[in-house]
Amino acid sequence: MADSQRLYQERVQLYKDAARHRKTNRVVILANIWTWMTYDMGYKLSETLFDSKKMGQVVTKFQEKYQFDFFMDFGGRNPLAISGALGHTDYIINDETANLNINDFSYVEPEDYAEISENYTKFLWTKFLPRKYQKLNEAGAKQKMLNAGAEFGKFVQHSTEIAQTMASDYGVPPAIFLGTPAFWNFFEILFNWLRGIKGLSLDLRQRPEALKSALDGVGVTDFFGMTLKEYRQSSQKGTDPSKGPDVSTYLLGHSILSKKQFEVFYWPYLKELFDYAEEYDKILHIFAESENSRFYDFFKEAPKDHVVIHLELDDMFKAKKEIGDKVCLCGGMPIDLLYNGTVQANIDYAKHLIDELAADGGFIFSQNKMVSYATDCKAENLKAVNDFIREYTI
Amino acid sequence: MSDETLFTYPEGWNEMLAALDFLPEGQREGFLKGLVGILLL
Amino acid sequence: MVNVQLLTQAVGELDEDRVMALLTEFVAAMPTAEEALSALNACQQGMNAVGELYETGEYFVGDLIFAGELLTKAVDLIKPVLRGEGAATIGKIVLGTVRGDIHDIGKNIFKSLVESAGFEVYDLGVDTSPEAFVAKAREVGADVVGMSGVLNLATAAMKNTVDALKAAGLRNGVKVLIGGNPVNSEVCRNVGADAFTTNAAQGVKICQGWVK
Repeated sequence: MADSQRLYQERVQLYKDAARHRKTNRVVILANIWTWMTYDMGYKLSETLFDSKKMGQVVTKFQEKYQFDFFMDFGGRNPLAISGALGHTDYIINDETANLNINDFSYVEPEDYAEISENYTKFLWTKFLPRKYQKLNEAGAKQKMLNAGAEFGKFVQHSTEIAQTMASDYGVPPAIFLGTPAFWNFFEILFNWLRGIKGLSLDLRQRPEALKSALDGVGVTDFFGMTLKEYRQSSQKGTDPSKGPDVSTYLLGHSILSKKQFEVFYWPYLKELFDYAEEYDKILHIFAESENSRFYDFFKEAPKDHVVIHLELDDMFKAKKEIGDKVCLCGGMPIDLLYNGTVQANIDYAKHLIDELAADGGFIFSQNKMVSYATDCKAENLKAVNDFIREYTI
Repeated sequence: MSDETLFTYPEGWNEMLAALDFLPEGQREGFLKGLVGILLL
Repeated sequence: MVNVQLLTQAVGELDEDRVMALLTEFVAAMPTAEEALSALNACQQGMNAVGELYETGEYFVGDLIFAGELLTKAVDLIKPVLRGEGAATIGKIVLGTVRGDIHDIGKNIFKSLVESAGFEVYDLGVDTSPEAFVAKAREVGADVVGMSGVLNLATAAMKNTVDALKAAGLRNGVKVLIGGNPVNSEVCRNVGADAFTTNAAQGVKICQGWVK
């Protein structure tokens, strides 16, 4: 067996063992590294975000240097060339700081909720697209959509090629973002891309019933219009032996919710994912931004050994005590330390995390926050930590 | 159909599907839904 | 005359319909400037209650954003009958999201709470240069300079701003408060700030302590 093939299988097995709370001899390392990759490899964001070939070079060179086991992202998170074909983006790129900011937006008006819950595709087509991409209101819209479609085709093809190269040459399984089916509580899609943080904060108070009916109407869904309910019907029982997790979800908008609001606007949809994982014996990977301790009571409802939760700002040791035997925890390495600390301080902290959290299985090592900007991480620290973990026996 | 009525449903949507004639008919709806989905990002 | 207690309670409960109904009726009755001032105070008291409920976990960030909007609406109604009378200010704060960062939700939450507490706020918006902080602090004679940021890189910009305040000879005359996701006690020390917070309500208390 080729080395990369052996590595691939070992990595998948390590991930699954961690998720299942089985003891392993080393801990799996997940790269929660996003735009920082481009910066570290000496490219500019303004080049790579529009050129998936260059992004591919960044990802493979990056893997040669750091040898991660898994990646959140192979550089596909911001496919700006597609929206570029329509002449608009909400993003502001700063090459100096490797900084990608997002402008304020709202493409949903309060009165749209009824239509959204009735026919989401119709809403996206007749309201969202012409509102976000104003050039579509001018002559030549169909051609622009065809151009965007061509970019989308290239993006899919190139993403597939990167994933194939990472698997065949480097033994790295599919990235968790875009490489693993992702199902979102529709609240997240509203929060991140349609309504925005301010609009949703008002809706939670001013029109909770309309909001709730849109969440129920659209359902737990992927980006491409498939709901979890539909996906279930084509699912086979058992975890996929070629992947780490089977499905993923992202908790970002929950950061504005109180526990009481979470129970109404979030929990039923997260529960749907938990039930799917249990019933079909799948592994669910959750990325949970911000600080999550007020939600531990819900996380404890996870089906044991079926859920991995990447916690961003939580105290991992407290999280382990409170929910650790139910779910596999992921994350832990503070990017503060990765940027400001010495090599030795970084290795010491990584060791401490592994000793405390991985002794009886159930821990995946990763950076606590999405490593994005130039000042999020120092290369020598990241490399030293990875080199240490690969050799460190639990 | 002119560009002004492209973003109507289902007429304009079907018109766009028909324009994706480089794809087999069975794949057009999935492709267009995927494109619209990625344009959220 | 507005029922001060009811108004305070309605703001604290974030009951928009009741707040607007009470104030609309109040304004229609042609109140005196003094009465208008007491209505404004009632709203501010209600915002204090919101801050307390946030600290207990009953309310969360979405509620604070809503509270800020509600207060703005309420003040817009009261303003015309205030006839230039303002609430007494207890201090001046120059506030902004630092250079390189455009996140302003946290800053805006803090702004609405600290204004309710009686501070006069000079909001410089987002992506604010050290020079702009310095110029405004000098111009208005600020008691506090408040810097906000979400990105990790914001901490470097905060330090640059403190350095600029020092270079301009203003540092000893102002208190510096930093707020946002990336701040902690170590960042606070590195930046050279007087205090840090990740909690807007707590930030208000810190500022109140400084101007006592």
